[in-house]
Amino acid sequence: MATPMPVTPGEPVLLTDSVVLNLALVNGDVQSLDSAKMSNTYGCPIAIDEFRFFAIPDPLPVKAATIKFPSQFDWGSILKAKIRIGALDLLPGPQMGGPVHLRSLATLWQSDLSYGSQSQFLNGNAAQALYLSTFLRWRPREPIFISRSGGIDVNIGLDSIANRWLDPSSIYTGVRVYVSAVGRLVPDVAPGLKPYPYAAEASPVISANPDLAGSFAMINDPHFRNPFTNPIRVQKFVASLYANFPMAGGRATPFGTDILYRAGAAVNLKASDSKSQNIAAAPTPMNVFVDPRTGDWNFERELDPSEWFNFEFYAAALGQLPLFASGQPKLFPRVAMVGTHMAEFNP
Amino acid sequence: MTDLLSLRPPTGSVAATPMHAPQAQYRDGSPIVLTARVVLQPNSPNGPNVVALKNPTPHPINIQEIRFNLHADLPGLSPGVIGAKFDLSLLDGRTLPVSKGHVPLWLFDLSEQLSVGESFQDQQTFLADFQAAATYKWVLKSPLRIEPGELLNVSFQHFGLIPTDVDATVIYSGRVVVGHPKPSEIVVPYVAGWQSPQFNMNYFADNYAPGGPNDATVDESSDEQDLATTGLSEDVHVHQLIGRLLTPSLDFNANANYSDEVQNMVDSLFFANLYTSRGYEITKDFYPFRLLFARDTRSFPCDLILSPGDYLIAQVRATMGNITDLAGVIPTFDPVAPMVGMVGERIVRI
Repeated sequence: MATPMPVTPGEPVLLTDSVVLNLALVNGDVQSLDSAKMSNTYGCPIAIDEFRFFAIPDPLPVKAATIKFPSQFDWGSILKAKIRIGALDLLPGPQMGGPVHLRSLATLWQSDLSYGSQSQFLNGNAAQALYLSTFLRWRPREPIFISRSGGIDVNIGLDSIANRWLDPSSIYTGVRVYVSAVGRLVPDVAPGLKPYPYAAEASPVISANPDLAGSFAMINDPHFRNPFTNPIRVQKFVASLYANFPMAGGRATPFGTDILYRAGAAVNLKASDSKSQNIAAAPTPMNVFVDPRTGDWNFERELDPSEWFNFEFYAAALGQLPLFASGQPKLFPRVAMVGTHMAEFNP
Repeated sequence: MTDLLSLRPPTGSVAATPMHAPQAQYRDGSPIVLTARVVLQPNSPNGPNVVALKNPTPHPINIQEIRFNLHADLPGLSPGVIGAKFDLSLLDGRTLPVSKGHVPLWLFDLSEQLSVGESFQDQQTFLADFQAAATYKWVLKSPLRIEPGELLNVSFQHFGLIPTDVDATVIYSGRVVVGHPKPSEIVVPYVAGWQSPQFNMNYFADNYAPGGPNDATVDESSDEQDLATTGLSEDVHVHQLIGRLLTPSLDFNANANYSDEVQNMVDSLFFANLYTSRGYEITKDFYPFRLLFARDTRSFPCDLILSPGDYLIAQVRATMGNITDLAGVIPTFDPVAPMVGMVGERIVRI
């Protein structure tokens, strides 16, 4: 490797590390990226334009004709991240609506009418050697400035077995997750208030009941509370929906599939803020609360310091869920808010 | 990204020309498309009738996009099996390189054509009777100004990966420039590409040891001639790097096909490392190829300056890594030839 020489402003920056998460742990797994690899060692401030996540099974299985495999699988639905820069949370910890699932951060780059929004995730093909890697890109609206001595703390977590959906006959023991912060050198950036992204999420579990009452889950403070002293500009809500039951019919949807596009009406929600201002006063199907093709809604509203959003989720009665096989599926609606706030930056 | 020059003329203005002068038919900003077509035979470079690509107007034009359309009577077609070489013929007699030799079409720009199922397999559509068509688009970061009588030359190279002739069409899409004097400098794009020797992925299958360790790696690297600014006298601002994995496969009709979709988990066995001849480490280690050259666009955006004589080094590694074999059967793997493209532009005094 060539010896590094003085750098030129504007040149590309790539901070990358990976961790392996153990799929066998009942309560899930959490690993921290090496802070040294995620530190700014370029000698000047840097701006991060996007985060890339790349998840592959580890070890990586080759052909095994007897292994069944889901035809589509989204690692981003069970992997989550906690990211902070210094003392500033980009994605908070469990106390404040974090960590945030990667799926809630990523820009969906294709919608597929047959399978909702999963088609961007590579398929495993049971007839051939298996490969299941997921690539997700989180591109905040504004670049993230990091001082010359700063770095990015990243924790990557895996949902508990009870809260995720892997084929029970899965042959995987682990998943390796790469995280890359992609950006550039910005030596001339001035100190002062800069925009920083912030995202928080709620993932309740509700059961669909055969009676007409349906089931219910409520998300209150502090999941969607503004923890900062400046307002958060909430740019969008991102929603997804999962079930631990395969959907019935010719288009059976196996585990790990976001079914918002096809079955978002299985869950209704109501939303309001801490000042009792209604956002969705009447029960609203999830797949109209957000754009079902992209899973998001450009909300564009300020959330003042210490304010929060409330969500209530109602499962439709089982008789109103024609796409599910008989039984009592558990539904996992997920809502994330993604926005920007201003914080002090010192190069 | 850094803007080199703001050379785009404002649109909407109309030249102050006499009512019935020949120039009156063109308004500033009028769209214009120049098209040429040629049939390519395997392993024979060939160029279209470039007369059709000359600026036919009495005004300069700004080329904003270059589009390619390929057609063949047999499947197997993809933008990776055809290359294009561009150079710019100026009125003062100079010829400026726009590409370093024949560069595979899919290295000129990021990918944005995603078929259902996320297949980059071919960016092609299958027509009746086993025909195939493939398209690609190169959006110039800065428009290329072509004066009346000047020509952006193009020739194609059929790399011979498929046995059939390929009908290639190239389109220059841009706008007429009226009422803006000739500048002293123009922005000229520059693209270079490197194709690695094929990786014999069966090497890993042949050397796989159940129970491990399986840490064999195979490396290939570009050299100082590949992703280079050879022959240029200006700094090149590289704004994008493209990464492709060329692999043969079979399409759904079991016909030989060349694509950028590596079947099975071999896709995840490739890693890349990038640095410049000045020693700037774009990556500090080998990272997954599909992470660096993002899977959704096959690209890595950057803002890199290569001075005359500088070059980029791309290293590609295939490693068995942490493969596990569950049933004692290792399939045969198709060979893979990684490709890296470097897309940029420079300011040329005219």
